[in-house]
Amino acid sequence: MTQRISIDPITRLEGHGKIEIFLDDQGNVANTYFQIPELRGFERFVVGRPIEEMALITNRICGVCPEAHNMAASKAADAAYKVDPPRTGKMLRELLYSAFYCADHTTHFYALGGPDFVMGPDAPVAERNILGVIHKVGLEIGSKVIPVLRSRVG
Amino acid sequence: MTVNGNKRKFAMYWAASCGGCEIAVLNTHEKILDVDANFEVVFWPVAMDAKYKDVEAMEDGSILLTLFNGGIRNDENEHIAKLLRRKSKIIVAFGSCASEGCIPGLANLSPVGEIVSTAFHTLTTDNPNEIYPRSTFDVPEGELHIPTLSSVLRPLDQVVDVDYHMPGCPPESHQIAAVIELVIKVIHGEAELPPKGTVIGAGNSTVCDECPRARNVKSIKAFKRIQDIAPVDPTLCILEQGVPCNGPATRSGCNARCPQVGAQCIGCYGPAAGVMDYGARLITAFSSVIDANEPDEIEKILDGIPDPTGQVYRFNLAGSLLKANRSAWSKEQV
Amino acid sequence: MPENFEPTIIGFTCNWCSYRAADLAGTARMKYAPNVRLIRMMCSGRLDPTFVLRALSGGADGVMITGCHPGECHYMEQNYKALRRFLLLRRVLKGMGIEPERVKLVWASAAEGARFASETTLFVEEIRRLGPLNWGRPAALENLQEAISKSEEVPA
Repeated sequence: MTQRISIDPITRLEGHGKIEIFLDDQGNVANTYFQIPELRGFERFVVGRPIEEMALITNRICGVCPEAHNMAASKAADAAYKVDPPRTGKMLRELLYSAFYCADHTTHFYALGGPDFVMGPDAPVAERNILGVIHKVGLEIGSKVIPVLRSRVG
Repeated sequence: MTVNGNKRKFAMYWAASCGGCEIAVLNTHEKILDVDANFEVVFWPVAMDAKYKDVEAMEDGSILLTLFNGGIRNDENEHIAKLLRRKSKIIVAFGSCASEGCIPGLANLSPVGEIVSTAFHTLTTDNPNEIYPRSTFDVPEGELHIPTLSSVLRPLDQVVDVDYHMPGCPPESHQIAAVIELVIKVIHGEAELPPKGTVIGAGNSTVCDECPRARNVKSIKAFKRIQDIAPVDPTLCILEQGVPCNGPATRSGCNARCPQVGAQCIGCYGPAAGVMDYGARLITAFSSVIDANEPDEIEKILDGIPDPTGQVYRFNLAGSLLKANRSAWSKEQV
Repeated sequence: MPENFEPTIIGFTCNWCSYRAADLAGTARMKYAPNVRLIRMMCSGRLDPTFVLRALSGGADGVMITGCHPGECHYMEQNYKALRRFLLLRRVLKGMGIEPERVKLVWASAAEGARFASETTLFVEEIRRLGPLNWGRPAALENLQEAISKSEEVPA
C-alpha cells in the first residue's frame, strides 16, 4: 500500500508549488512529483501593450526580484529599438542591479532559505522563520541586518 | 482584548500574486518586530512553513487579522480565500491584486484557453508533444491534482466579504507601518477600527494632489509616449507634456513617487475616493484636456495613445464595471 | 441569435435639445421603436462614461447618447466634451470586445423630432443585427482542455 506525503504549499520562496511524495512498502521514496498550481498568463497579456510598459508590467511577475525582470525588459526594448545606451546609463543600471543583488541575497538568506539552516531543519514551524532567527541571534544583530534591506527602497 | 493572555493571531496569504506585497511588509523594517511582539504569526507562506492543513485545523474566527494579497485566479485561490475568511475576524484585501485585480487582471482581456496555449507555446518554449496542464493527472502511484483555472481573474471582494481594502502595487511600506501601528493601538484599546469597508493605508485625494510638479490649464494637441519627449521636463506636469499620466484618477498615498522621478503615474494605487469605474474617470480626465472639437482632429490626437484599454485599465480591469473582455467568458456561460 | 430578440437600449438625452426632440416625436405621434429607455440629463456634457459602462454591464445591448448640435449647446461647449469622451470610450470598449456600433452619439435639436425617431429606429435595428450583449458573469471553467483546443495561437 503506497503511502503518500503532500507538501502543500511549499514555502519560503516566491510562487506556488506543491510536492507529492509516494513511498513504497519498504518506506522508501518510490516517486516524487513537483506541481505548479498557478498560472497568471503574462505571456499572453503583454502582447498588445506598448514596449515602454514592459519593464513596468513584467516586474510584477515577481515582487522579490522585480529589478531582474525590469532589466530584462529594458534590454529587450534596447534590442527592439536597436540602441546602445550611453555609458552613464549602463553604469546606473549596474548600480541598481548591484543594490538589488545585495538586498535580494540578504532577503533570501534571512527571510527565505536561511532560517532552515540557522534554526535547523527540525526546529518547530513557529521558530523556523525570520522572526525565530531574530530571537536566536538577538535584536542587536537583527537591527543591523534590517537596514541592508533599506538599500532597495526607493 | 487579550484572549487567555495569548498573542493575537496574524496571517498573510498570497493568491495569484507576485510576492511584492510580502516584500513590502518585510520592508517595514523594524516594524516587523512590533508585529512579532503583538501577534503570533500562524500562516505566512513566504516567511514560515505552515501548511494549508494547519489552517484547516484552526478554529473559525481564531485569526484576528489576515492580510490577503493576490487575485482569485483558480479554485485553490478561491478555496483558501473562503477558508481564511472563515478563520479570520478581519480580512484585508491587501494590495492592488486583491483589491482590483492589478496586472494579472490584464489576463481578462483574453479567453483563458488562449492564455494557457500561449504560455505553453512561446518563442522560447519547446513543446513538441503539445503538453498542457490538466487538473487531474494519473500517475502509476495514484492521481495528481492541480487547481482549475477560472475563466477570469477576480478581486477578493467578488469572492468573499472583505473588511478593508489596502491599495497599491505594492502598498507603500510607510503606509503598511502606519496600519500595523493602528492595529496594535486597537489591540491595546487605544484606538478604534475604522468603519468596515474603509480604504486604509492610503489618502483621500488623487496622486495629483501629492505631486510637486507645476500644473497649468492643459490643452493637449497631441498625446505622446514618454520616450518621444525625453528628456522629461522635471518641473512641469507630465500630462501637460503630452504623456498620459494616470494621476487624475488614482488614489493618493504613495507621495506621487513615480512623477517625482520623471515617470508618469501608471495607476497602481487604484481608484480615488468616490470613483465607481477607474477607466471611466480616466477617459473623462484625458478627454477634458484634449484641445480639439472636430471629430477627425480628436481621433488623430487619440491615436497618440497606442493602447487605450491598457492605459485606462492597467491595474483595475478585473475590478472595473465590465471586468473582462467579452471573449474571456466562454460561450457556455453567456 | 435567439428569435424575437428585442434589444434593450438606454438613451441618455440632454434636456434642452434632444429630450425636447423626443417629446416632439411623442406629441406628433411619430412611430418609432419603443426599445429605448430615456434618461434625461441637463446636458450631454453630463455624460460620465460610467453611465455607459453601468448600462452595458447591467443588461443593455446598446447605449444612445443625444445632445445639441455642435455650436448650439445650451451651456456653450459642453457637448464637445461629450464628443471627446464618446470617441475615447469607444476605443476602450473595442478593447473590451464590445462593438463600437453599440454606443451611438446623435446630435438632434429640439425641432428635430423626426430625426430623433428615425435615428432611434435605425439604432435599434443595428443592435438587433449585432445581437444581444448578455454581459456575462465570471464562473469556474468546466473544460479547460476544450478551451485550449478551441483557442487561437498568439505569437509570444
